[in-house]
Amino acid sequence: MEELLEILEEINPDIDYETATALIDGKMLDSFSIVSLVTEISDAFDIEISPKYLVPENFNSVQAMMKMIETIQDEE
Amino acid sequence: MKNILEYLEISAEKYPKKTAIADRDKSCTFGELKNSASLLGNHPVLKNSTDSPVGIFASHSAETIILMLGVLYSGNFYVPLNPDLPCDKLSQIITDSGMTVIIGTDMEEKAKQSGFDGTYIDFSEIPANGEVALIPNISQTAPMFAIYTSGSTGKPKGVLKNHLSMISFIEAYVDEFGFDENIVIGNQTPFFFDASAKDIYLMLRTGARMEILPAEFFSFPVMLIKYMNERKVSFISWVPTALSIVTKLNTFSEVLPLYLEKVFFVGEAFPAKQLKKWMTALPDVKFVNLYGSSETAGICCFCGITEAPEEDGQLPIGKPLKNCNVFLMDDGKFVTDGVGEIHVSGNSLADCYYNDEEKTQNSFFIGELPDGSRNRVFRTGDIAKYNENGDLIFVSRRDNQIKHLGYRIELGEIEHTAQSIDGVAKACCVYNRKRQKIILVCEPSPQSTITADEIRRIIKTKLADYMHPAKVLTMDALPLNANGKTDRPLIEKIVMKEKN
Repeated sequence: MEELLEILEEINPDIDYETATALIDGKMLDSFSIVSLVTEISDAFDIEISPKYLVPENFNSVQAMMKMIETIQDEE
Repeated sequence: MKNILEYLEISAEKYPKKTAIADRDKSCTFGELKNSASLLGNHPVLKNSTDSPVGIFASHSAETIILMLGVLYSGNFYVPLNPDLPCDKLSQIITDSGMTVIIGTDMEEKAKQSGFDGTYIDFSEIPANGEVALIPNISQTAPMFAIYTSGSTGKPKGVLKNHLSMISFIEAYVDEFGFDENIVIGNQTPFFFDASAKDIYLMLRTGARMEILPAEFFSFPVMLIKYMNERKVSFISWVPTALSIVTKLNTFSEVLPLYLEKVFFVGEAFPAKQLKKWMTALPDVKFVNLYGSSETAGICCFCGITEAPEEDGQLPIGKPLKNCNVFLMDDGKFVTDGVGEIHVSGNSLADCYYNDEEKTQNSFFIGELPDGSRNRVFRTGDIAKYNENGDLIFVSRRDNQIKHLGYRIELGEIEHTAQSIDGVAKACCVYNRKRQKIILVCEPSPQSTITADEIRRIIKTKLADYMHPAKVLTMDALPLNANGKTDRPLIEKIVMKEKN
């Protein structure tokens, strides 16, 4: 979780990630941020995020992202 | 041809029931487009003037096209406004252009907050029927639209184009690439950017359908490509940043665009690695690199790409489109061997920077062309050379203009904005091309306690979002060079070293 928060802070430090639940639906993160985010998460957690995981629901909150990361880690 | 509206009149006559523009929820036929635009053109307030600027809040929807064309029917010219721009910036554009009428949807409050005290017309006021405006009797050299771009002095500058410039471009574009009414255009560029005119007037000229692609899909490109398949998109002309998002997220392993025939890219260099992924996944698609500038309608050079370059290789800008004369000059002499600045001549040139005679004279002049004739010439500020095939290759910029995510930005504009903040004595903005990050370095005034974070927050309220620096740093004193000027190369070096 800490690691993920660090990545997000780096992308946009003005968002309160611990409480945000509509990062995508609320247009807080744009497409360029998503690309950075996916790249950084893949590197940091040593996983490959296949396109099927790239849906808004998986990126709307830190909790959703963590859940996605764990699912991928379990699969691998 | 009288003026650009004839494209609409002809398409509405030929294909009255065919869809012209579609977005996720709505669509509009050529007949409806002509009807709504000509009804707006008859609005009493617009009828009061000719050749005057009319601001339009340019949301990414069919309504915006109706507003643009409606303004043209009234004999005036339009100035697209980015609805998300901070009020400070909007106010500069409103003042500089001297617009007294603005049209939008639910934007009256924002217009007022930006200091606008003229007449606001809401889209909902356009009647559903009634008397329509006829195609105005204005000449091809009448002003058509002005688009504001980043200006190095901190003030945005308005590039004014006439009807002839756009007609000249579109005719050459259609002729070169054989576009017809059967293509389906997948529009990515927002309508307040100059590059969107290529899609809009191509749609009107050919009678093709333009699909407005929802911006949010670019965050999740599998949804984007599926949507493009649903809508049978066959032609796209996007910034490389948008194209790169698709391949960086491995979209093609999940879904392929089934109807795509032509992929054009414009606005910045397309990283070879990402282009290669596109070309490998779509071997039957035609890929073309375009080169242009807001000061010319559409584009002026193009290069068909049949093979992706090596990792660090560079794509040529290519050869001129038929309506343009493009040549290199250095120190007043033509350059055929070696590097020179790209100069463009032809009917597609913009008229001027609106209300800025000095800037206009700096960039546009009447001069001799390589064939000995004399004509108006635009100096692009781009330095280039020829390769062995006679194709132009971009080398560098003459000034501090950068391309970031496909947007044209003057670093000077960010610096001026930073320097206008209380407590900031000096500012220097640099660009980390590799990591695509704008970095602002500020020197606080001697007594000031302002922090980098505070500067960053203030800047965000004053500049368009794509110009926000990714990082703001402070230095007690910005380093100076031997001439006593801010040492930009040294600052770049220091900043890039720090893993920014």
